[in-house]
Amino acid sequence: MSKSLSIGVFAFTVAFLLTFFVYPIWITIREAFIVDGEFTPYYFLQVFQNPLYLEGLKNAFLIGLFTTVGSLILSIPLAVVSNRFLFPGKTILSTLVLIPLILPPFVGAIGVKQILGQNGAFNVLLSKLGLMDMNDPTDWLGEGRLLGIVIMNALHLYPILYLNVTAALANLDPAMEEAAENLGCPAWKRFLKITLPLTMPGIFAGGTIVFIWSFTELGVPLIFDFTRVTSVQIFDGIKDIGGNPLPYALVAVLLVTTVIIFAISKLLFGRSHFTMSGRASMASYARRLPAWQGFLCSAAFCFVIFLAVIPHIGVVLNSVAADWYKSIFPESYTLAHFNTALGHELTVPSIGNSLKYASLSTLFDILLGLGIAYVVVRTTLPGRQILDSLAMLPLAVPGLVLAFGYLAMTREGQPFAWLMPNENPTMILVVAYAVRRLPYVVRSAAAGYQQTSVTLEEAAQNLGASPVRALQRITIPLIAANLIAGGLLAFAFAMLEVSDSLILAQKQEFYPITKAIYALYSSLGDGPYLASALGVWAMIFLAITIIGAGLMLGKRLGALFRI
Amino acid sequence: MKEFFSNIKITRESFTPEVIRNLAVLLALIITIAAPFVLRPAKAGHARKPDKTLVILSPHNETIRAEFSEAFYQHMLNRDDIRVRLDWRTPGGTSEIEKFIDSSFRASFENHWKKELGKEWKNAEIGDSFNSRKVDPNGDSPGAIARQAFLDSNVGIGVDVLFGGGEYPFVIQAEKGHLVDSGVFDRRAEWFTDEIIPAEVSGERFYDPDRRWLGNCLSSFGIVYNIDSLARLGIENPPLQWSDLGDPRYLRQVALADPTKSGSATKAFEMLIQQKMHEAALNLKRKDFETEEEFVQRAVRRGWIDGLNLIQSISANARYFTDSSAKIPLDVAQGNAAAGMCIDFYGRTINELVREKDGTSRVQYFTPLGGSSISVDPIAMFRGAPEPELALDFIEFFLSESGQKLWNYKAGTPGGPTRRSLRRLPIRKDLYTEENLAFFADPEEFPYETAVQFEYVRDWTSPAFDAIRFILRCMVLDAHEELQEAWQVLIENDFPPDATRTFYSVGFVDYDKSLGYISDRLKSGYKPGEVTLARQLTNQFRSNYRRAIRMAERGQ
Repeated sequence: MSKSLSIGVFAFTVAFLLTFFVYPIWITIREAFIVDGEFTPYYFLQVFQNPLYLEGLKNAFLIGLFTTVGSLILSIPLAVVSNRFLFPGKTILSTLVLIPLILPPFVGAIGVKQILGQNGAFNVLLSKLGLMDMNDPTDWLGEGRLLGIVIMNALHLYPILYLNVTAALANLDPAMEEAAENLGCPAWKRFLKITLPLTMPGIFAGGTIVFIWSFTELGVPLIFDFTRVTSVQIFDGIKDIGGNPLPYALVAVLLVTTVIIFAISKLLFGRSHFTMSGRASMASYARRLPAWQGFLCSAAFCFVIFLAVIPHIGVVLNSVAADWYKSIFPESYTLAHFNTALGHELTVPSIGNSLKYASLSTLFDILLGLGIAYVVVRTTLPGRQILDSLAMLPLAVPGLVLAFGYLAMTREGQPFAWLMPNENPTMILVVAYAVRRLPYVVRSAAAGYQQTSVTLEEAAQNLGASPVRALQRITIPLIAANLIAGGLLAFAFAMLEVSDSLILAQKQEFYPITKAIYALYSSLGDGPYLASALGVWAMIFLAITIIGAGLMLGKRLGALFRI
Repeated sequence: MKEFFSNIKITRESFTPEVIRNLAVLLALIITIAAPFVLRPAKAGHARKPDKTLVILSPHNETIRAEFSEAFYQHMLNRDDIRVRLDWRTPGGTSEIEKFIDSSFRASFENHWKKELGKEWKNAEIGDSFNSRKVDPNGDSPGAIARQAFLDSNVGIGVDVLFGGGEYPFVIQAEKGHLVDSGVFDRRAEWFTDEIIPAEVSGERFYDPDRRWLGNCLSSFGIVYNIDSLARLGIENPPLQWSDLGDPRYLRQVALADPTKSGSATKAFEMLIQQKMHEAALNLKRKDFETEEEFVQRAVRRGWIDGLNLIQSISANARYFTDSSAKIPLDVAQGNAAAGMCIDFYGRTINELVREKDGTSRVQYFTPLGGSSISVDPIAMFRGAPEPELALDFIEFFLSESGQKLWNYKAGTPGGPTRRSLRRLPIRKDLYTEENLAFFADPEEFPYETAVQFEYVRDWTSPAFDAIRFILRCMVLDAHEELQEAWQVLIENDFPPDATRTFYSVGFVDYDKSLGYISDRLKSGYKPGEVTLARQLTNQFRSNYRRAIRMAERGQ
């Protein structure tokens, strides 16, 4: 890319993020900074004087840290195993590993409670095995909550790391390790000295997303009714009908903290990347394992996936349960919930809308992500690090804050009213989804660029290709695995986006599927069951999309991911 | 042709694992996408292009929305031969709706101010004043001029009607100037009598004296409980009064509504305090030198402290405070909580939902007699409503007998809802006749009789309404971790007297202080002062609870 084009991309992406990320946040949180027309840091500083909020930040940090560690422990062995070995059911298991990510909103908590509640399936199972007295059941969700949150987070988020680490491993040239092996380096040292450092971009990419996600995660602490954590404090505060400005200051504190942590971790872990002068010179070097070892690998995958999909199992069973109470499985089954939910007048249009919003926003994300990651990794433009942090922040902003910002800026008479003509939210929703899901693509693309040597691009340019053509023909194909990984995440999460959907899609004909789930959830009596049914539909659809993408791209994706 | 087919040999071998896998995925995707299309309902008549559309902002549940859409469509078709579609806008609960309204009016008025009036817009001076209840429109300041201009205007937000959410948000929106008189009081003056829709019952307003909102149905907070869970916890008597929920055996088994996020939940806690005041008046003895008024004042102060202490005990038993009205009855039904605070119609619906064939149900709902007031769920028209005539028709229809029947008639009865009973209680007193009650889903409920069991004395607690919410936030929500830990230690050590006294010491938020400087601070609108006070009170409560823990561990 020529310098002027780089500057152009830089300017465009910065302008875009300032307009559609910084500005809407500012509209919402300004009441915590502007009092009687004057700027004041009062509330911002108040946060640090209040032991309650400091404890909240501390807990958020602990949750983030341990969730990241937990996800690393779960994902790296799985990724390495899937990279190195052939074992029974490998293709399907490597795809299924991603399924825990797709948990529909609103009903996930019910699924968890059906399994882990005091009268839940797990306790009933334990009592049937004679390990528990149902008159004195363990309150799994009420006790040891911080640990519970970390475990649930790690089981929910490890696929993000898995995906990034697998992509990074796929980019590794096995020749490196072979060289070390030939020189007599033992396996564990080879892993620590060669594999791990070379995979660092992927680990960093996934790790930062997992950290920021869990640092600011709202849903899981709410399942455990744990309120002393920043995300819940913000959520509670924003909904306080007394009109409390502190939560908005807390949003700012959370954003600043996130940037600082991101910058520090980038200094510590993100800098030591080694690019490879070429793609792997061997097609695949995964080797077949003896039967029992292979079986052990499959069992490890199955075990982790099973633990991670416990909430999903709860939601699925709930969607077909007539009544499910104090029993391992529902006592009787019915398809009535599916019949009502899928047959509801909201459902079909909302599916179409969601597909439209999510695919457009994913496309947008890939373009933006390619541009931002290029500027950050490939150029030396001043301020590129700020752009990098800015692109990560959407993960840390509470959904409601951005959503109300978008609402305010698209009102009639406001500068961006044209983004919501006749209350049609398509454009603003695409922008909103794109902004919120941008970090996945940026991180994946950045990891790809980091691992691919710039010399390849330069060689193409020396041979007469224009910079854009070199990018198009050389770099993008080389980082395609990373883009697909990031794009799949962006798409799946856009389909499941909540806050923007609730606030911005006001007219029924524009409802995305999450708002339809929300509407069904509020049906009197059977609402949660209907919402579970539509949620299961969304889950199945996304699961098939992810698996289908794997199969459609067939061997190409296989080669990219080394599946 | 025959030959052609005979040449295609589909043998077992042609189904390689890969082919089978691809076919399976393809088939799965087709079935997934086809399912909603197959189950899609045939287009009903009113799905056709409507002649008119009425836009309604509401937190009402989907069941209510569907039934009301259908009923109003039929009504207008029969009356005027026009097809009306109800366009429901549902951004979320009370707080999202409030933010939605505020943000929308601000943008509309800014547009009006700049374009119609040609004036310069300033966020602080104009934007924060035009809809502020605290700004007196009779003045010369820019804020007052903006306020007057707003109240004179027909600035709207493209929404006609605000429907449901409890009285509190309506009072707030009316004071801001966002709601206006729909005209139903003039058109149907005969309805607003003590026999049909009284202005006030037991101290509760049923409509706005300035006619900007009016009640449409009635609701109250009660207790929902799971009989299995009670048996497991060894609790013989079901919780019939709020005070029962303070029993230590309920530790971590109570689900409560969050008073900071909903006016009706604050109201429920206010009722609990009022009940304690009434009790104090019964139990205390009037001293010789006291006048009747002095005695009542003493009882009120005693009741305030007792009420706060009871809230401490109940909250210490609480698993959580939530703003989701559906969550509590659901958790109780599944045994994730043993008992909870719940809006009446949710309690009744869940009771029915899990009812066994023999008529018993593990979930019971009960309105504590004398501990809960009956309040209204209102309806109102927005300023600048695009369809004011239609909005008036809508409000009128749902106050008429046929509209009111929808609230509680059983599904499928003549004049009742089509799919499911809404289980709410109509506001019209004249509807509760023997003839009608035969069709009621809840014929045993007589809200007008229940209401008189409880005399809400507005003067006692209403001036402290915001203070109650504020104190509860500091006392039991923000300090919940410490509160619960202290409570647990107290239970383990059999409530040592000094520690218990420390736990319950709420003298620094007694009645006079709450109505005095705490209320003043909240009314001043000076947020930094409020934030500091909240921090101080929370710290005070937390240190009390921590002290109680240390004392109890020493057996003091």
